[in-house]
Order: sequence, then C-alpha cells, then structure tokens
Amino acid sequence: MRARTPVVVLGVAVFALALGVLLTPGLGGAIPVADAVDAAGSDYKLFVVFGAVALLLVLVVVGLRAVGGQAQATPPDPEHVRTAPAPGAEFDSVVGGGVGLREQLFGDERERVRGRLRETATQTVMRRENCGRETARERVENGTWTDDRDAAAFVGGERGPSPPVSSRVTAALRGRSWFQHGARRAAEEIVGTSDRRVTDGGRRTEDDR
Amino acid sequence: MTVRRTRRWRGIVAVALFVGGVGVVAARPLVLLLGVVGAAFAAYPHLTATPEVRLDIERRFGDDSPDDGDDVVVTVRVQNTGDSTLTDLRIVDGVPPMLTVSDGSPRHAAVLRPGKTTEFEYTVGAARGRHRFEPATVVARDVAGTREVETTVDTETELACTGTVPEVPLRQQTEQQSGRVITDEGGSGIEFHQTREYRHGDPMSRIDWKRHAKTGELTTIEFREERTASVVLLVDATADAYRARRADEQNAVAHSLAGAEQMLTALSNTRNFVGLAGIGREFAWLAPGTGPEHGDAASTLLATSPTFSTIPPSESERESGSGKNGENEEWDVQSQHAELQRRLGSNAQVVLLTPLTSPDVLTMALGLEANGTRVTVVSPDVTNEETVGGRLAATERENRMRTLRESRIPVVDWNPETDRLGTELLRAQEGVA
Amino acid sequence: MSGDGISGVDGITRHPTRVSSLVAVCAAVLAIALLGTTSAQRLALGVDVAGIAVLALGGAAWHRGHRVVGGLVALAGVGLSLASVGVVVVRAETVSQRVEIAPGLLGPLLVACGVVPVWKRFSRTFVSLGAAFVVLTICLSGLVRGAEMLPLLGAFAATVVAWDAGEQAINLGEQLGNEARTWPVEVGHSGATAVYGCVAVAAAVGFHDLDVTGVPLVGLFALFGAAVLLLVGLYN
Repeated sequence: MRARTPVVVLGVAVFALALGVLLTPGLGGAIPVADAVDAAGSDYKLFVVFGAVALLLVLVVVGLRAVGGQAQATPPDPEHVRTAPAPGAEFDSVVGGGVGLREQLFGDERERVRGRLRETATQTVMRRENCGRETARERVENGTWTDDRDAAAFVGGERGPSPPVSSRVTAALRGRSWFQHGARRAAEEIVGTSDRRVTDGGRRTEDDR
Repeated sequence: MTVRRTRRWRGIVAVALFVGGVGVVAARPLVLLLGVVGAAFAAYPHLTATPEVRLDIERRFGDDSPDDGDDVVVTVRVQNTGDSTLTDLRIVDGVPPMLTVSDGSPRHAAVLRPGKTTEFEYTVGAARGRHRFEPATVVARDVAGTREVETTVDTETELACTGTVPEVPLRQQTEQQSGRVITDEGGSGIEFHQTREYRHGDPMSRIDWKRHAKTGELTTIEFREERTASVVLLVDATADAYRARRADEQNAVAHSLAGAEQMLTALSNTRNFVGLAGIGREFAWLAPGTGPEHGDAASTLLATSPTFSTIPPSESERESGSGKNGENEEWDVQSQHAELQRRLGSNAQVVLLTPLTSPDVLTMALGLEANGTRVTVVSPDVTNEETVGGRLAATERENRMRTLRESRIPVVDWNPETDRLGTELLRAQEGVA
Repeated sequence: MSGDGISGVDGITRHPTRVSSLVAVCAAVLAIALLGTTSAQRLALGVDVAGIAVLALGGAAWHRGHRVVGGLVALAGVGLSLASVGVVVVRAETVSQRVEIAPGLLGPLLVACGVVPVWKRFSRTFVSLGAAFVVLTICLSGLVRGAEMLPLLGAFAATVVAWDAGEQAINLGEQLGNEARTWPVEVGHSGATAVYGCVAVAAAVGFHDLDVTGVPLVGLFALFGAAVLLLVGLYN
C-alpha cells in the first residue's frame, strides 16, 4: 500500500489540474496539447494511447491477482475430539511404511525398534517361563524362545540364528524389506507368546475378574 | 489479535480499467461511463474501517451435572460491548478438546449492533472429567470484507461430568502404622466412636460425666483413632501418555485426569493430606494439604496448568517431547523426576496415574518405590488389539504391570470405557491394605 | 463434482453458503435480463435459468450421496444451460442481438458452477470467470448500442454484486461451514454492496449529466489520466 501512495498523490494532483483547466479556460492554453495531437494525427488517436495503457494495466493487475490470491483466517475445528495416536501406532507405521531413505542411512530408528522388540521379548519370556532376566535374555539371544526362525533371527544376537534366505526372498516378493518382515514376525510371535501364557492358565488380571 | 487484509476486491480495479479503456478506444461514452461505476467500487474497500471487536461471551448448559454419555445443550450468548456495529461477525466456539459436538454447530455468524446480543446453541456428548472451554475464536470483517480481525474471547466455563469413587486404596505409611487411613481401633482421635466401661487408668477427661450424673455408671468415651496419610496424586502427562484407543476417543491423559479428579474428591472427604503432581510439558506441583482452600487450589491447578492439558502435543512438541535425548528443557522428564523426588516428603505416598505406554514411567515408579516412597499405580488401558503394533503395545503394558507387581507395587488395571474407576478401586482395595 | 460429498474429512460441510449463492446467481441473471429485452433474448435467458435450476438440483442430490443420479442431473442442467446460447443464436433477429447476450449467458452458469460447487478447489475461479463473461457482454452491449444507459449501468453494478456475493458464500462456507446460521451476515453484506452499487450508478449518471462535450481537450486528458492513476493507486 505504502508503495502506491505516491501514485495516489500524483493522481490527485492531475485531477486538480483537470479541475483547474475546466474552471479556468485560460489555463488550458498554457499546456502544449495541440502539438501532441498533431504528432499523433488526431485527438482520437491520443485517447487510444490512453485506453491502450489502461488495458495494459488490466493485464498487470489480473496477473498480480492470479499470483497473490486471497488471505483469510482459518478458524479451528473444535467439533471433534483432538485425536491422539493409538498405542503402537509408531510401530505400525515403521513396519507398514518403512523408514525414509535418510533415516535408513543415518538414523537409529531401526535399531531402536529392534532394541524395543528384544526387550519386550525378554520380558515376555520371563513372564511365560517364570524365569530370571538372565535366563530369558539368553533364550532370546540364542533364539530358543520361539519356533519362528524369522522372529528368532530378528531379535537374536550374534550367536542367534541367521535369517533363512527363503524368508528374505518371500519378504522381497511381497514388497517388504527384511527389516519390516522381521519386525512384524517378531512382534506377532511376542504377542503370541504372551497369549499362550494366559491359555496355560497363568495369573492374569482378566482371569481374576 | 490479527488484522488481515483479505485482498478480495483487488480484481475490481482491473475491471474498471478494462471498461474505461474499451470505452475510450471504441469512443463509446456509455462504456466509458461504466468505468465510473467500476472506479466507485474500487474505492469501496477504502471507505470502510477496521472493525473494533469488543465482545462478552457467556455459556449455559442444559444440564449442569451430566452423566457420562449424556447429551448436553450448550447455549452461547455473545454481546457486543463496543461502540460500533459489527457487520460481519463470525464465531467459532472453543469446544473442550475432549468433547464431541453431536448436534448443531458451534459456529455462528451475526450482525451485531452495540449492546446487542446474539445467541446460538449446540449439543455435546458429555465424557467423564472436568472439561474447560477454550476461548472462542472470533473473525470480524468490515462490511466490504476488506479487513478481517481475528481474535479470541474467553470466559471461564467448565462442564463437569464427574463420577465418585468411594475410597482410594492407600498403602501403609510405615511398618508400625495401621493399614487403612481411618482405623477402627478406638483411640484418642476427634471423631466419636463408642463408649465402653471405665477401666482403670483412663484419663479423667474422657469419662462420660453426663451419663455418670444420670445413671451413676462410669463410662469412658472412645474416639475413632485417625492417622492421617499424605497422598500425592501423580499424573503421567508425558508425550507418550497422549494415546487414545481410537481417534474419536479421549486420550489416556484425559482419563488419568478424570480419575485424579475423582480421587481428589474422595480423599478430601477424609482427613488425609492430598497433593497433586504432574509430569509432562512442565513439572506441576501442589504440596499435600487439606481443607476447602486447598481443594480450590487443586482444582485451579488442574484447570490451568499446561501439564494437565488434554490436548496432545503438536508435531513439533512431540519431536522435542519424546525426548530421544531430553534436550528440550520444558519436556525434560528426567529433571522432572528429580524434582518430584526432592519435593516428596519421607511420609508421602504416591498414586500414579499412567497408561504405562513408556518404559520411562516404569523406571520412575520403581525408582520412587526403591527410595522408600510407597507407590500405587492406577492405569487406564487404552491399548487396542486391532493392529500388530497395538497388540505389541498391549503386551508391553502387561509386562510393565507384572514388573510393578513383582516389586510389590499394587496396580489397578482400569478400562475407562467399560469400568468405573470406583469399582476398580474397590476391587483393588481388597488386595492392598 | 468435488469429491467430498456430505462431509469432509473433519465431518464439517464447507460448501458455499446458500443465501449468498442464491444472491450471486440471481444478480448475474438480473444483469443479463437488463441487457436482453427482446423476446428471443428473454427466451434464451429462461432456458439458461432452467438449466441452472436443474444443475442446482443435481448438485444437491450429489452432495446428499446420490452420486450417479445427481451427477447425471447436474450434467443435464449444464447441457440445458449451454443450449440457451444456441437458442439466442437461432432465434435472435439481428447480429447485435446475438452478440450482446450470447457470451453473457455463460456468466450465470459459471457462477452457479462455482457455488454449487462443481469443483470446490476452483470455486473462486468459476465465480470470477462468470462475472468476467457478464462484464464482457455488458461491454459488447454498450459497443453495439443495444441497451440504454440506466440498464447498462445497473447490469454492471449487478455483476459486481453477483461476484461479491459468490465470493462471500465461498469464504463463509470455508470458515463456518453449512450447519451454522449465517444468513444475517449474508443478507447484510450483499445488501450493503447493492446499496453502494446504486450510489455508484447515481454518481455515473450525475457525471454523464455534467455533459463534458464542451470541455477543452486538455481537461479531458487530465481527467482520464487522473482516473487511471487513482485506480492504480486504489489497487487493493
């Protein structure tokens, strides 16, 4: 707006001049308009120049409008409960969508997921077998906690089983990375292990109810 | 307050120039005259003033103490307290974050002359807890729609949908003291309990002299002995606790807060000292105390502290809040633990409300217990078994509950959708004592 | 058609509000009606309006979830509206009668497409384009000397009102949705624009009555130059 203020001032000045010319006919003679008319050929042609300038400005204004667009407030949407993710939603997104390329190369997201699964597997084995932490840890490391080789390989340590080649191929055929496949299998196996304990008649809160 | 130029009229200049230009080039005065109308409209947005927004807002409820799931009609009255007419006033009411509008719209538009009021209503489905309304968002435009003022109007409104819990399971304060907070052993407390036959050695002041005068019997008045406990209700409002079973349901922090509210009421009806603490956006603390003023202070803290906000952290907050390194000072959960540890006296016990969605809160509970603070965990269950991640999270929670129980920390597993907290606590009571 | 149906992702319908939409279409139709006074032109405009009504019905059905029926009806409405151009080309007696109204018949249709809305993302573009077609037809009418001064100026003011109401419908819909009560603001806003339009027309008539033919050339140049400069200065 401020940049256009001189234009408005100029416009007002020209308007004042026009009024002056209209009210005092003598003033008009002082401006050499006749020469301009002669140069253009006729007074009509001179008006056409004005009109053309105006039409040119139309293009400029329309262009600016197309670029600028409008501004308006975006009020909040209070109609619904402010959503929060479900427990485990991060895990689902990592397993479902994988991690980004940058994260794959430099991040520790995969190791965090693996560490978390390893810890949960240990805890669950402790709960199932009613054994100490060391024993459970050992069983997870060497992969004897489950029959599922993919799951065992995923959370197992260096001494544990290595993932079967067939699983890697199957995962690749389904369009998943080995990481996604392994993490999913490990999670399912941990959940299964946990449930098995309950069906074995273990003490669980739900049973007490 | 934001004042914005909408720029909606900027095209009219082009139209005025166009018709004027055509009129000149074609030498048609009538078309040139259209340019005058166009120029007048180009001046239109410059003739209006920025609206001056001064409003009062007031809310009323169809039902002041609804039950869980009831529909409550909210009537909003807005008054123009300024001196000028608001020609284009748009209002979006600040429905509490954990409530859902079931009928009508919390949005409204009105032309409001000075001193006049406008009214609108909508229906929300009540959910358990105390729900504070957020400021209403107001957008006011001038009559041409050139300038837009965006601001908020606030008034303290709270929709309380509270349940009651009969009793809070408290743990023994020290080895010698009785288990329940109010003992049924007769003693020298304040509350009358019973009379019994005089025994040698009873203090003179405790003899029922009235009865002696009437009947000649010597009896001793016994008072109910009361030993006050000091309880701190601790709400886990860390980034990991903002989890909900489904997108349209309350998150675990909201459940925890509703639970804390109920227990606060139950405990202030006894003579226990109750305190309040929260870990999350920042450390919130109210030292244990008693009496109505203390109760008010607790309500105020629950309503105003950012820690006790039910709004899940935004993406950016979550980045710093999930605390891979705990760099962010406000969300530095580690130092909040330390602060809590420092503030808890040797005599206080903690009732921790947490969905147990992170290993950190488990470490904290175990740490408190190891340092001699008695901990009871009340855990709203928000896990769902619909996805692998959900089932994994449920298993993790089971594991955490077991670890707590192994460390002799009682855990109340509470499904906020189906169970009332009171019933769960009573069930737990039998196990605690 | 915008693919969001009854409600958007967040459950709030954010279509252009009804009252302003109706005002927009009616003002656009009024502008054309002021220009076209012969029976052939009126017939074409009638066909145009009928087509828009059918389009509106189809849009309503679509947004209530009847996708197939609604879509077909809306398409028929657009077809009927477009046929009105054919009506005026065939039935009008002179070239100038055809020229002065044919592009204008697209105006109300485009405005209607913007506020139904046919394609929500481009609602504003539809409304602006519709208004532009009406302005074009007004200019043509002025060039072929088809209309008197007052109807011409009135039609121009009505076009501005139509555009303004259409945009107002869109921004109210975006900010408050369709469940909220918005009509007082819509009526107030469009009423004010219409009253101002009348003032603008009166000013133009007054300007005309000044009779500038006797004015020296320099004065005219200065007036026109001042007008252009001021318009650019007022660019909002």
